Amino acid sequence: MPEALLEIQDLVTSFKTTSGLQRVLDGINLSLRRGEILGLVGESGCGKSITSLSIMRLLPQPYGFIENGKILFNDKELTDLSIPEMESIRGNEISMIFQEPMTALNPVFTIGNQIEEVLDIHQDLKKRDKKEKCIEMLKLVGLPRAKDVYNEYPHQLSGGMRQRVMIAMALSCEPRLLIADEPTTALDVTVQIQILELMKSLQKDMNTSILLITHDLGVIAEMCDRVAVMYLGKIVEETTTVNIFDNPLHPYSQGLLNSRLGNIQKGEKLICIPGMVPTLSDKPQGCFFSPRCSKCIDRCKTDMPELNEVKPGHKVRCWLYVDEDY
Amino acid sequence: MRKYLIRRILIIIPVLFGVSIVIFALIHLAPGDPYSSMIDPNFTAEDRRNLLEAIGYYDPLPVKYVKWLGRAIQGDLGYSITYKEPVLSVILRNFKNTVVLSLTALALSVLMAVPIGVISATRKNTIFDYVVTVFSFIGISVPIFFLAMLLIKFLSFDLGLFPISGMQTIGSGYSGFMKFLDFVHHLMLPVIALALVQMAQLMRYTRSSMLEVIMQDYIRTARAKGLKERLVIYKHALRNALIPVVTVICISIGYLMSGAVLTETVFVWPGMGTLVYQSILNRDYPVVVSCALVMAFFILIANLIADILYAFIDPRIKYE
Amino acid sequence: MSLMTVESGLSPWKIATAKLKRNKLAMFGLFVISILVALAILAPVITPYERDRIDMFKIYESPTSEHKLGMDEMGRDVLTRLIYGARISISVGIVSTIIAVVIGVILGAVAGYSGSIVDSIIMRIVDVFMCFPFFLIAIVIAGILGPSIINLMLISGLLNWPSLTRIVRAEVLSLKHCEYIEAAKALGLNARKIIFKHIIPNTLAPIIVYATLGIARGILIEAGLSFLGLGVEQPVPSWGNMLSAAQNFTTLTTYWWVWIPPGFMVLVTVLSINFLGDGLRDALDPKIIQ
Repeated sequence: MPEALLEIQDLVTSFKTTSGLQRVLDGINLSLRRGEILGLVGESGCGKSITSLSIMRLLPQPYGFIENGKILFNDKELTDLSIPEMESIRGNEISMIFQEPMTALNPVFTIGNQIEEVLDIHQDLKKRDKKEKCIEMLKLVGLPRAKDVYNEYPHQLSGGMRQRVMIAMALSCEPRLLIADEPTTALDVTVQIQILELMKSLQKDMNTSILLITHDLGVIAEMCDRVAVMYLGKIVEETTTVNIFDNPLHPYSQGLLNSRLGNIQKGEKLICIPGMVPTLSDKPQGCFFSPRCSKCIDRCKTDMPELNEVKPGHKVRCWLYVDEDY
Repeated sequence: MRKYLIRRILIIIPVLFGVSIVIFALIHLAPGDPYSSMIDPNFTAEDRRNLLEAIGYYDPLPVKYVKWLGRAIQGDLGYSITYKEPVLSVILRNFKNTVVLSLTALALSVLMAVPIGVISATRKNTIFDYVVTVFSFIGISVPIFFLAMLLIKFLSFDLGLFPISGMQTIGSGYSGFMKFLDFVHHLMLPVIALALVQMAQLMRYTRSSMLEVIMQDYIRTARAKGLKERLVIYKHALRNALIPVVTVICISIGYLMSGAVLTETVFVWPGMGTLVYQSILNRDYPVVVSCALVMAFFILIANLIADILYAFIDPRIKYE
Repeated sequence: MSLMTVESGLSPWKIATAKLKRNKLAMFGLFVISILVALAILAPVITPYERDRIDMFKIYESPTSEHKLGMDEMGRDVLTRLIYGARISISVGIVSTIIAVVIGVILGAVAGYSGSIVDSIIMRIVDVFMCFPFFLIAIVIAGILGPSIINLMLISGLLNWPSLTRIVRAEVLSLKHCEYIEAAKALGLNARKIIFKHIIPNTLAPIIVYATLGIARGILIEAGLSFLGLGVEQPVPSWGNMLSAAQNFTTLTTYWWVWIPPGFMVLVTVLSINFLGDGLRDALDPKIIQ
């Protein structure tokens, strides 16, 4: 088994709010192997994006901070690094693409300028080579007329093209880890598939690992080797993509899979998980999912279960699978 | 871009028309006979009657307006009762001094306000930010003439650091460079008064514009690239934050001149403000109304420049 | 990231009040304004002397225990006139703001709601007003009309509406196509009813903010015009015409107690109103969560 590129241990990230500290990430454990695509799924507000911002150490200041835990990346402890050390990793060894391609590029600089900036920070290239590399990257992400795009401003491009530019920018220093935070959510369906395929093929060529954050299980099926399911700041299940679709263990994962539109025949009722995601300030006692869980037992209401490896390569946080041969 | 500019320029025409109507109304509302001031007072009675007829004294109101507008466009704004010369030459003489005063104040305030506003935004909720915020609140709340008088009393009179009023030391006989230095010495206090107030506005504006930009997604992208915080702020954020600030600076030129009215009066600075005030005291209404016309025209031009500049610094407009 | 959903479930007004209460500067402003308004109302009760009482032997007397802020150029008690001055200055601010708000809101609502020609005519008029240097035109009109409190209120009110018209128009334009307005139209309500019952209440937040700051502007205009002798006339005291005593050079340099207190009062009042107005703006803006 190849060693882990990224190893997150007991990560706790909190926000200072007007009503006191709020734990957004409540002890996250996650490991990402070299060359692997790991999917992170969950409903909005469960802490997926905060996980990625914690890794990048880009939590919104001055409210968010890492309270506890370790983030080991390539044997470096990211939470201990100084700001300049962290800056030399961002965009270089770890890159990130965001959800909103429409607003993620600076409107007043040309595309060329914005990609070359990354090269300026992390690589020592001559001006000529820089431009060449930049146009090469634009061609690599499948932009037609790359030379023109080089001189254009973001608002002249469509959403899909902008996301390609973001990918070009993120991959220009051949990072070991690419964090993609809902990279296709804001795009048209047809464009979504193109972008996903582009990411997959570039990932193979560059042997980059990807942490793919999404709420869309279709994207997971398409892209990922393994999946981690998040609920209210905790990982509730972690296993291979095949396992999660064929044999989901956690009731929440089962609920997510059941509520996919693909499963429903015409005329049938839509299936959904009952209840609403509780707010962070109002977390339930015991297992956070217990109030919405159809298989809830007494113990769920009082104690939070651990994330246990119930079969090789299949971890789940649920009392149903503790001390039991299922 | 061209379309945008043409549209901007075309929009001025109805506004200018409106301004001229307001001014024309003011001329007729003002006490006294406006027509007696429209011709050279040195003419004989016979000539005067002929001229009165030519400029439309006996015409119906709309015709009067058209004739007046025709003369105003050519720069003929009538005669000053006090100075016994054409209004335009009186105004131009004073206009120059107002421009020197307000542009110096503007330059000073921009140089101070923009960096302070940026720092204040990046250190939101620190002591520095609180001090800047309270200071700019005081700046927008203080009556400018009161500030001017405080400066005169404490800095000029009590400490003797600056001359008390005017534009040069009377009877000093300075010439050349000394004369210039003397002028600058006189200029300093009114500039400080105007600049402090202007600075307060600009600081607030820069700060809030910067705070808004810092929240944008592309700032997070810039950080995710590994850019140093200094560059994130001074390259990516500032460039965007300045777009509205530049517009505000242009527009504030007009309001600066308006604020100069009170400042000039207190410092007896021979500019438009002092001229307007003196002319009201002397009931020299042709000068008063013409000053309003000239300033309105100037503000209109400043707003137009703001729009044009906006199109140049914001790439999003060029290609619309 | 909608992390700050702590205050969900409360009505918008309750949230605004809660936010405002947390804003120290705004609460300070409100506190000072309340004291000033109380002083203005109670002026005849709390002032130590009669407003216009003249003591010929005490002209320009410096502050003493008897006359805490000294005597002015005619031998009148400065403190007494200062307190009475609050009445004039504050009422000029309030009345002129009412005038401006009435004109601004009606024209803005009509322009935004009716669109087309009516809209462009109103907006061109706004443009015309906006390109006159505000204070200069105020002086010109005051010079022509002559000094009086009523003229002062009219001038300040008639010059202050254009930017409010722009604000209201923009709000109305954005509300106009909201579903509940469409629903009201579908129910057959006429334009006037829709504007007054549905649109104006929803533009209330920016109007409240503008009106608050407008009072500050009115007080500054009063001070400026009266300082130039174009506003409130003696013997009625206002902060502006008390300041105009400093037009006299000896008063400016030597008898500071005659003009610094009214100037300071204008500063403190306007500052407090600005604190409050700014706090209101933040409190009423649902986008600002902090």
